[in-house]
Amino acid sequence: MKATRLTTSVRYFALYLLFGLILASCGQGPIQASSWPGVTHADNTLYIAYNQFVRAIDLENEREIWRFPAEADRNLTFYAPPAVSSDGLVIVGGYDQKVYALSTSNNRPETVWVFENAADRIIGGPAISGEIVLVPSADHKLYALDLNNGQPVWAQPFESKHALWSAPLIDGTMVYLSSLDHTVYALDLESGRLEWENDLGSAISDTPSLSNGLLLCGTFGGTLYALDKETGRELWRFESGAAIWGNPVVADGMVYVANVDRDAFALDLENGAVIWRQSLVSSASTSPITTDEVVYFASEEGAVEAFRKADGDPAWPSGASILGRLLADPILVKDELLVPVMENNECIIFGVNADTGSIRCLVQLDEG
Amino acid sequence: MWNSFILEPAINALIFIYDLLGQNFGLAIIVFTALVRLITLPLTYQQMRSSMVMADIQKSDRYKKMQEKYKNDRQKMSEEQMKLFREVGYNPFSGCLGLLIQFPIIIGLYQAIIRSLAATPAQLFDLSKFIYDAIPDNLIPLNSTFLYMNLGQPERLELDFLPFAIPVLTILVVISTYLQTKLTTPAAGDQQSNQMSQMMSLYMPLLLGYFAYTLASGLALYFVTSNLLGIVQGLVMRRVREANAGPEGALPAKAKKKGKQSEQISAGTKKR
Repeated sequence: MKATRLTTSVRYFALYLLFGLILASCGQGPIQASSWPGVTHADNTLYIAYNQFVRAIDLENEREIWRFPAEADRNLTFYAPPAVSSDGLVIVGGYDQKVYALSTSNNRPETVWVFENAADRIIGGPAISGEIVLVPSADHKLYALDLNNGQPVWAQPFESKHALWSAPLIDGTMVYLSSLDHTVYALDLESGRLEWENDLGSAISDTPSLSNGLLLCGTFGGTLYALDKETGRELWRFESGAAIWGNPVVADGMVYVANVDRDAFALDLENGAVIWRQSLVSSASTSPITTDEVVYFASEEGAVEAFRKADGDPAWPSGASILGRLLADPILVKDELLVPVMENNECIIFGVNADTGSIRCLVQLDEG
Repeated sequence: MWNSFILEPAINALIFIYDLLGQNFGLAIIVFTALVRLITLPLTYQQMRSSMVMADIQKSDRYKKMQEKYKNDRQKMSEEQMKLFREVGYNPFSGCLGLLIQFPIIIGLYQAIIRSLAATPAQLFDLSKFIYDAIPDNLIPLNSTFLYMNLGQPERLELDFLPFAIPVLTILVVISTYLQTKLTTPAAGDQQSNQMSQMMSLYMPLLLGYFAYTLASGLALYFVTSNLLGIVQGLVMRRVREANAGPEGALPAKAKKKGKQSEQISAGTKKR
């Protein structure tokens, strides 16, 4: 009889577990974030796309100016870094497969247009050049839209063989696009025509970096490629030993990059030779930040570390430690690193003093 | 510990199979689910056998008479019941042990499928840390297209002549879960177990159907595959038991070896 009761209890437990899961998914509270915050800085305003809201924070007084939508909607989440036009139009893509153009005059977001033709989520940030906004979608397509009305500009969107998760890079009349299909594409901005492509052998998760005519791409296979931006031809490569997520940063003839195996590298821009190498506290998915003397790396388990650009020696006595996961790229504003954080119940943006490494919460989470 | 011993091996095995099957993640889910069911066959066999034997015992005349005779003496009823279990070679804990061991395996399998699909950058970043060196980097991210479905998204079949989309996998999940639950939780003798069986056969299909409707279709494919294999296993076991039991009904093997087990169960109280 005891055994029968035990078996029955186990079955009840399974049933209650399933009920619990269903109730949790039907609840009215904030939903759990499925990716890291997308953050953009423009005109002393910080735009944060995270979970159910896009928020604009005035960095002068560190107060929220507006949020979109006004009320949380369980079917609407945002993680792609917003793009801001010169006249203040905010373009933001959602996991609801739509692209919203928000007018923010009077500090109130009003929808100017909505693009609804994408067939999958908008994960990578849009990019704006003149009157064109480029929107990458997980449906494998890059859409070129008229900034004023959201109408398609190209005859057809450009289609890659896998999802597009990173913002395109616009350089004059050229667009450089990295894809999870392992390929870097160069397109004509006006027409979307393919100029060249180069299959790098494994997925590319972040936007390429451009410097001195070199296009730098880190891959899931752990290789950093330097390509000729005109032809896509490989000029040099560096094997880092583990997946590279964050795009590299170039400063003063050096390339700074980190990988998921906790390695940070400084390389010679000319040939990819290692100048110095340091071990980070944890895996890095972010791009480094540089100042005149120092390069900063944020890594997953809440560590921000500073090294001297010249020799790789630590610039702080000890690294800054933040509660939560640091997976999104930090931004340098004045003398403070603004570090987006995931899985912290109170704070979404930490400020880290670039000189001392002292930390403070700059933007509270506030999920409405 | 969980990641090292359950999740990482499961994810890498799934991706290995995916590569082996021409980078088809739908087929990989089907084959991987079948393999896991094969590995856990001794457990599921034990669990199914246990519930079938228990149902047979509870339906037997001897058990019913025992219940009637000792309805006011729970202590005695318990003693007699354990005696009966020993006689027919039934281990009352074997069923729930199998069920308990299966839980982490099922959860691990579910997590492996969801994590391998890596539908967001955070999930893909996490996946990158789970993959063994032996897995080629160029496999990631996995191609989540299977037939007309994106396995990372809920499934809907759109037909030109219909104004609405049909959630085919959801329907299959509901039907197959209902059939499997009916098959593996046979009607029992006592009221509580019967009530439980009815609840399971009603709510489980609806709950899993809800998950299939709202979550990634890769998960729904796993549900359907697992259910169909469970149905086949249940049918085979039922056939074998019926064939072995002869005209008197299905009976536990150990008692049969002793001979005339059906008589022991049905006439046991008379002998007393």
